[in-house]
Amino acid sequence: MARIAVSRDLVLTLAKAARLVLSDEETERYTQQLNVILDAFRELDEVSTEGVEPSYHPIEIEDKLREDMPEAWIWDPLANVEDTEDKYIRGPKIK
Amino acid sequence: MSILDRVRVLDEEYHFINTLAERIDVEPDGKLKGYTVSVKDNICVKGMQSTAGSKILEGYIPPFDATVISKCRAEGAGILGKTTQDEFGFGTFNINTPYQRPLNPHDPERSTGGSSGGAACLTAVADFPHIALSESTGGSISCPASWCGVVGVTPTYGRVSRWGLIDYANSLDKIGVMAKTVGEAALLLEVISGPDRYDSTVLDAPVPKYTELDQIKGLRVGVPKEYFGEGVDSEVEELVWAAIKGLESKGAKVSEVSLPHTKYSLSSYYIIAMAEASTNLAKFSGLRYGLQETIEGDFNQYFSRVRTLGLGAEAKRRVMLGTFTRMAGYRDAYYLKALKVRTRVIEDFKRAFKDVDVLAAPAMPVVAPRFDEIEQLEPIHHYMMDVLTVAPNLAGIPMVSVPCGSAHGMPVGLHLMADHLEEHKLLKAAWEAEQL
Repeated sequence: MARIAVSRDLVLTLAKAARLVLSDEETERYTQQLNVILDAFRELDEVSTEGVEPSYHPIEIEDKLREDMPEAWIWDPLANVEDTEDKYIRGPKIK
Repeated sequence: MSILDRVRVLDEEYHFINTLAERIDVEPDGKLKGYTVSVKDNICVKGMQSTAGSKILEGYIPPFDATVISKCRAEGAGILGKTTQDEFGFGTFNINTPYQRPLNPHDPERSTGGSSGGAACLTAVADFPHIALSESTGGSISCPASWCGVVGVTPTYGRVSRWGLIDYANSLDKIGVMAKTVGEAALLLEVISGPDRYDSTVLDAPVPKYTELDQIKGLRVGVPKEYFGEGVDSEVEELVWAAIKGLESKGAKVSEVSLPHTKYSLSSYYIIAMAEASTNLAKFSGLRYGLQETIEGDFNQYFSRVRTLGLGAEAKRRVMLGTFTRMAGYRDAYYLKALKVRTRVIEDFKRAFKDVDVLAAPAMPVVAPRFDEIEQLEPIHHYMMDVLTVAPNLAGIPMVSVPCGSAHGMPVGLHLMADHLEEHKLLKAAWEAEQL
């Protein structure tokens, strides 16, 4: 992997994608820290992975299917909602 | 004094509880009759606030029990309360949380370790029948168990149902146990293991009687050379070697093995864990549960406001790093590469287990650090502390930390690791080490 110079702009792009708002001080700090951490990750280039399959799980997980049967809903999905109206959850405007 | 009152007194001194039960309901007779079970705060208990150590889940009251909780209740355990942890499991010292930070019972100026710090602390100080439900993604059971001087078992990935676990990284998370003795840890593991119709990642393999603990004749112990030497405290090393020699004196055959990709497991682990965490945490939007603010602005403005308020500094760091390693243009170089290196790490273990039953190493390279020492560390140094625990967690193999003495006045853990689904062998070896 090529060396990535993490800029303030890249950190702000990542924060925006992750729906986070950073102060100037945080942007500065994360820029410095992300540079150090991503640079350390480059050591993986030393490992030959030619023809190696990726392990998405540590152990083989088989697909499992069960009968598609109706089942009673055992809890109230609104139990933790603070802002409801007529059994609906009130959310922010789309635009 | 009731057990709950006793816990209140202990908690005032050591700070290990996030939410305490209002009363202990003891259900039918069973294997856990007479035991209380404490629960790491990322495992859902019906009617009991479950925050996973995060402000963004403040006030969240699960309307259901996690499968492990139902299994404990069915065997007669009384649920005691929720123990402290680093936010979502993001940490090695249990300091990354807006709630209370637990203090090490052997020296209150030192960390309990993390992320399951509260579980280890309570297990160490409990003077009543108690076993802890805990969870590990990259070492969150072995680390605090080692530093607090208790037994901590992380089972094989897929051995225990995770239904009702507030997830950190789906391909790594494992619910496990902590106890004062190997026998008690085996008891709780036996209760919680096995299939669950609500979690399709649980393995169908039968659950052996983990509680039948005796000596394995001719136990073959492998000592991975990469887990000793540079970076490992010499007194810690001496104690671990003394335990290995102790096993040898009781008939075990000890040999050196090599796990050549150990060095790379840290980067592979953190890339995978952060990538998965960044997608898992996307669901916290301040709408249906946990932290909810007055609704203003559009979706993006509202989500950003709640997440900025509710997530801590380490969570933000991991979410941004995980977002980066999955980004178009970087995904193959970081995320996919890390998954391929993980395959190499798994192959290392599989090769070693052809010749040995268990591997033995230190659980942590040093004893529990003081809080003032931790304050001097950069995030990268926090991550490096996990150097001995991430490889077995990446490979999803079972592991146990067993106390093996004190160095610098603090407990040290012997780390034993076994092949997938060989908990029965692992626990017998740990039981033997406990008798030394």
